[in-house]
Amino acid sequence: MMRFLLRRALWFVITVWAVVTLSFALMRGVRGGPFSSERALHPAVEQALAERYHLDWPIWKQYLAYVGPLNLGAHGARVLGGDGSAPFGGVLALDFGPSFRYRDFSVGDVLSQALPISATLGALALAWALVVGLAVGIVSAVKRGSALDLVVRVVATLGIALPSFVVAGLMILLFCFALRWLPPAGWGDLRHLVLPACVLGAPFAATIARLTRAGMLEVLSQDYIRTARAKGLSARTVLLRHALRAGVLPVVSYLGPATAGILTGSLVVEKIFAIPGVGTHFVNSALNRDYTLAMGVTLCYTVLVYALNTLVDVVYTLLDPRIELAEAT
Amino acid sequence: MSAQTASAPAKGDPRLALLAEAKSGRGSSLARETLRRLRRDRAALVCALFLGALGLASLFAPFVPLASPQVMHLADAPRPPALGSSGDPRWAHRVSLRFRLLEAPRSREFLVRTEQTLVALVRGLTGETARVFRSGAREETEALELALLYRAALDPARGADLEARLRSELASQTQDGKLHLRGGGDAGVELASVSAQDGYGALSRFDRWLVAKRHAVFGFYQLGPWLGSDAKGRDLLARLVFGSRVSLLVALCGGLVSVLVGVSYGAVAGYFGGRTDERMMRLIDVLYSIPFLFVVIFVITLLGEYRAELAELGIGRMTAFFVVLGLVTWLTMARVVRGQVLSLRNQEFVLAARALGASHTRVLLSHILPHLSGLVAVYLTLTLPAVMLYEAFLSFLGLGVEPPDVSWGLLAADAMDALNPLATAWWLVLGPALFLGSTLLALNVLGDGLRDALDPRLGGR
Repeated sequence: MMRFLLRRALWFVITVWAVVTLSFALMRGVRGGPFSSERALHPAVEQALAERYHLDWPIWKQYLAYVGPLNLGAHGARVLGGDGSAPFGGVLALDFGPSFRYRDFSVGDVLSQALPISATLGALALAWALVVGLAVGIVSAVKRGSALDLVVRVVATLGIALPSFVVAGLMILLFCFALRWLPPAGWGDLRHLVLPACVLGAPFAATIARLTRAGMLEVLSQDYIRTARAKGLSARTVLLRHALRAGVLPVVSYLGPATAGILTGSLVVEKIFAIPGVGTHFVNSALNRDYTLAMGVTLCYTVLVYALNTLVDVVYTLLDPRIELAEAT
Repeated sequence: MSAQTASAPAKGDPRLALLAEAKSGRGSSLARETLRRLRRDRAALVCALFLGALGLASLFAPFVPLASPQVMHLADAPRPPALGSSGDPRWAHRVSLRFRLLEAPRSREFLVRTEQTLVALVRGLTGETARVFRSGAREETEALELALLYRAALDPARGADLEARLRSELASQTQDGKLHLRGGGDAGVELASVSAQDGYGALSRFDRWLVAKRHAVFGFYQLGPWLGSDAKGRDLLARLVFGSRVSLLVALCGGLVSVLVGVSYGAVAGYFGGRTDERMMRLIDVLYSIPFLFVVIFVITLLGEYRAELAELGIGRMTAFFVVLGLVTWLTMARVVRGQVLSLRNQEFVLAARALGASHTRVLLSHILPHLSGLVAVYLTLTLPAVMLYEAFLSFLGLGVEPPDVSWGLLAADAMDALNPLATAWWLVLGPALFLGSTLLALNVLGDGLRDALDPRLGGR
């Protein structure tokens, strides 16, 4: 276990380093990027940039300062000749620099405001996808071949195929304009969350239902289930204690990609429902060429996905003792 | 059959029957078996037919008698769907010659005679019979519009001197400001304007040829607003069909790039195995953990800065788009191909090829690659919807296809913009949802069916 985590950590550092270095190269090299002179930046931003990126330094020193985690400037660590008031800086110290477009905001400020919103939405979507997906999948597997099973399979196929903005459009038409139950957009109370979370989670609920159904079907035909039944255990115990644990394994391994998918999907869903989350900021930053913000979001999400994937792998081994982590990297 | 005429074994020999059976039975290749099984999968078959029809409609879009996807009718936009057809007087793809009547026509018959005279005049100049539209209050026609099917040779914007020729012709038949009418009488008629409207925008030569064919077959006939019109009064059905060209093209090209990269990467990793394989697969693991839509958006934004240079190299925005989308969807393909190659490379035919002196490249290209075709076909059908979805996502966010090009994602975005509680244009949401949803669904079902057909043991999952 320890070895696995260490190895993962090593790869993680390599990934992040590659992304950061690439981003530095892009920011320095790209025309129209942060440091090209053709862009008309607000003087305040320009000054902040020059200060933050030490444009008078040699390039290797700029790179080191950009990566961090030590601040090489006047306020940096004492060992490096600074006064020690702000020893850390750079991307590794989670300092992504000032935003290009939002004056007086650093990327960190924007992220810390937007991330909780996106996290709430994402967690809610994932929760409903899991609950609905698992329940529907189990029922569908148990009642295999019934009309209910058929309906579930068709709806699941639809849910996987339809893109979220199409589902969103149809749902807004139905629930906001035809029935007038829910507000179509905005952010505030719980009612604003229902529709976006549903839309965001829908394809994942569908996939989870499919995976659960397939997994359960396979497990239910195994000998040990027959043994458990033969022992006289109730149908509920057999299903929930014996079959479910092995049956949900495919779902557990799907959680990693699902999380990544939900993060990605929130780009569109947040835009549709006008939710001020990370996705909205990211799309705006791409449209506005706010490179620092875009880079910060990408990096932030890479880290998040990587960490969650690792977590999923660990959970997987806890659930299935047959798998060894060292091989499962 | 020829076995029965052979002389050596006696009649009734069971081996004979066997021999006959072996001769009459045709060998069945993997592809043929797959097709046979696929044919029994009715859902997959329906989907394949649907996709085929969509592909044809999209390829031959200019031939289909659709309304113009570009010309706007702001007056009554957005218009709800209406079944119906033909003869829309606002037919968009035309050259129109507007004449003003200087005095109200004395009688209906007189008006018809005026029209006939003008039509004959235009026919003399262009060789075509124009279609006449009257404008003005009922019974009090003030102006006439003679519409001709659009031809580049008649377009003033493309240097046609139609107007000058028309004026001189009109002048030669006019006396004291009155035009001589056929069948007697005269009327005060003045040429007001000559304008051409090319409702298609930029088209390739093949498409122009299709447009000409459309005119030859359908003339002025065109489909009605079956799916309504959008916020600017453009026909939604036409926009969806023309949009399918972009959406399908992006999917196909992106899928192709993904196959090229994925297959070569996976094949090399699987074939050489060992340490190479381990390293290459580790890279894929790392790449898997990057949220790709973010990277794609980042890269496309960056490419935007270099648009001029890329254009100089002959790489349009769309091409860059294909490549970027292909480059992020090859991971699964590489993994699957690698697994297959790993099991193929230890088979005897590979050993035999190597023993006969074939190089690694040759073994990979001509011995292993053909065995992968089925697998690649399956994963291609599953990659296409992924690429389409990416394209739709990006266009939806305003980072993909740009007007005047249309794609389904762009149309869905337009629908969202037009969505408001006061005047709900539900058809704008429904149209793109219908096209995008059914295509993605069909691709998914076909992919699943193909996978089952190729490997029946996996069936029913």
